[in-house]
Amino acid sequence: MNKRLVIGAIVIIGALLYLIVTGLSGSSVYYITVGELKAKGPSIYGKTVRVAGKVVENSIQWDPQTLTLTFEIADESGKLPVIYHGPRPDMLRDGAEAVVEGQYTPEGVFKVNPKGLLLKCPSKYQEKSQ
Amino acid sequence: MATIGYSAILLTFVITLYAVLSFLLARSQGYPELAKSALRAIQAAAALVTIASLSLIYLLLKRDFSVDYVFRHTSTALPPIYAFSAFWAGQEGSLLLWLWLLSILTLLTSLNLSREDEAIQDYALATLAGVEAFFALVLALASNPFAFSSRFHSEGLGLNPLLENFSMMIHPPTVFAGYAGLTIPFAYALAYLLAGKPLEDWLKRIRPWAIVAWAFLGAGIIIGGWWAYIELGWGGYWAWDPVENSSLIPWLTATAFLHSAVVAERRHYLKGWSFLFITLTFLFCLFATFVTRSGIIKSVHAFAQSPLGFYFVAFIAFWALLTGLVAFKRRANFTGKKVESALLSKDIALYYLNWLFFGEALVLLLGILFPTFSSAFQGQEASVDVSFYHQTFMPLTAITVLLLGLCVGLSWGATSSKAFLRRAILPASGALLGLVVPIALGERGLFPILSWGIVGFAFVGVIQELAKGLREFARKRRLIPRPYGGYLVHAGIVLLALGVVGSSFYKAETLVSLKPGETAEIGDYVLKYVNFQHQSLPTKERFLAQLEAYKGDRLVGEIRPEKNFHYNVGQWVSEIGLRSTPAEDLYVILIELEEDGTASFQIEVNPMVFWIWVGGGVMVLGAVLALWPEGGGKWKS
Repeated sequence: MNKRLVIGAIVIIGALLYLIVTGLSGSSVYYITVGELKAKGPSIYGKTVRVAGKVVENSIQWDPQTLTLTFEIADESGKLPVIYHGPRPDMLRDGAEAVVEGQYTPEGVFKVNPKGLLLKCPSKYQEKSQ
Repeated sequence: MATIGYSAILLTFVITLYAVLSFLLARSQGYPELAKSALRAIQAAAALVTIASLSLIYLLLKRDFSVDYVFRHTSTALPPIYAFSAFWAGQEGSLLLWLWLLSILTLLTSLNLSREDEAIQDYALATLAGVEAFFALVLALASNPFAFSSRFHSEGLGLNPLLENFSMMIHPPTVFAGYAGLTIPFAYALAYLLAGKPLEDWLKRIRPWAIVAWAFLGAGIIIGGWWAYIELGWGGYWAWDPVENSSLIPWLTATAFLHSAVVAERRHYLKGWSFLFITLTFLFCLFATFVTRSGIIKSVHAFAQSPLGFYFVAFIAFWALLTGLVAFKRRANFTGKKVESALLSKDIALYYLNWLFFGEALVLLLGILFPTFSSAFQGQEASVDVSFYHQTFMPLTAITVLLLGLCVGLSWGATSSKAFLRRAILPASGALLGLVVPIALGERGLFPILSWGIVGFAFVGVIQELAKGLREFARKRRLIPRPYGGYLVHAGIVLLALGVVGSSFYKAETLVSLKPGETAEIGDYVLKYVNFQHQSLPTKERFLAQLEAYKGDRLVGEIRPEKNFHYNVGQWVSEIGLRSTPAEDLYVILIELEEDGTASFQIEVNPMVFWIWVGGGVMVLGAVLALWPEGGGKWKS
């Protein structure tokens, strides 16, 4: 390999690192627990975070007129009411593993971003079903 | 039957371990009889794994709920064909399928080998037996498909209705066939290196294996996208989910390998890259299996705790270390002949292509592992969202497609700039067309315009190359399939890119609530909600809406989305309504149907998705053509 190729490789690696660093800084979203979310208080309002938890039994309410979905998720550290606007996902049911991405509001409700409601994909869903 | 299956797995572990040790002893001590006995052990292992797999199929079809795996994935109401496909519905069965496919492929390679290069054969089969032993161990200790239920069950939980779909029946085996198949070229790479034989011979021998396995993996990924599109009901085919990304990584490294291998064969360099890429491919196949089947990704803390994770991480580390050491010891094998290539040549373009594929694989891997890294180094778990892939993977892919268009203009060794410019005129005009037409049609976004330009460039480049092949065929009356298989694969990629660009930038969607008789508009379409139906079936509650799609006054089709409540899993499953044309898909999801017939729909127009599936088909066709024997079956290994 001659020198020109090495220079080319260095340029490519540099560009790659640049892409990765800018990509990560713009798009990394933190996972926090329900307890941490509530403990942070006003500093967390409006910041996009992810919270994972199980859908609480009998907490799902669905208004088809306004396409508004409300439910609660719970982890070891507490329960969190969640509101989502959009089509109701098929996989949403009591006890389902959910990850919500959105913002905590002063009203104590977690507002989920459009398409910010993730439910476990069936290839993994079987793990905890027994 | 479960006992038979489990015993067969235990025996497989013992016998493959015996094969590994015997092959290695036979090599180091020089006992040919030992190698022969190890060869028989390999064949016996294939038979044993087949017995285990048939036992599982028998148990599934019999719905023997005393076996936990059968209980969790089938029910008495499940049609036999889906009971059969429940084989790979869960982690344990999937790992058994991996082992089954690998043991059969290993058997085939052991039968297909000539006697003259015993060293290579012994080392390759020892490697393959080692991988088999690993899977047998995992199945025996951590992920046993034959484990009994702790309680008596008269009925099973049933298959997830999302998996009751034709594409889901064929998607996992296709992907696993790719993973298992890509293990073979790796095993031979290691064997040639251990035996100190020239790597060029290795490349020739494993080419067909690599191409077939690569095509299987690619087809499997696309079938997976198709399943997501028609079954998951969110209107997309790729969500940058870790499970999807992890299957794309080995496909990318395998693609890089196939390209490096051509350079190594023709120009005698990039041999080290070829070896690196096939090793990475193997390691990432293991990694992808582990990511898909362990459920680690959402809860990263389970990484170390899950026994399966420990086995896979240890095994991946073992092979990375071993191949690294062997490669270092035999580094002299990688140095090529002194061949000077001009900067403007196919060789150098392919060298840069390696870096692109490497970068693409790297960003996907980073995206998957970012939660693990961030919790390890920052003490708080973070993950990347889709925009990360848009900002990193997409620019790299765009340059890759651009290089694909350049492929035509470049010759091996050196290209005169005059010849290059002459050959690049047509693709460049394609690029210009791709840039100007969208602008003229009112497109103002930078990324869509650039994307069209790149696709236009590559599209014309590929057509030019295929046309050259056809002219040659007309003149000589003889088809030279091998390079044209590759070009056909390129054509498939361009079609796929066309579909991705069209559906990413021009998707239209709307949410509406309609009463029977009412209409909704989207794009050029008017959708009329005609009627609804509600049926109570033994296994599900079925809700169905009938819509008519009009373009202007003309009825173009009927769309019938459904939403069903499946009792066995207590879950709603949407069956989308779809009208697919080459120009665009009209895609309707029934969100809710009330007693009085009021229904809410998500309606989408997804342009050019059709070409993604066509592109996938063309790629497979190209792979078949690339396998065509040159001069009457000389490539037979």
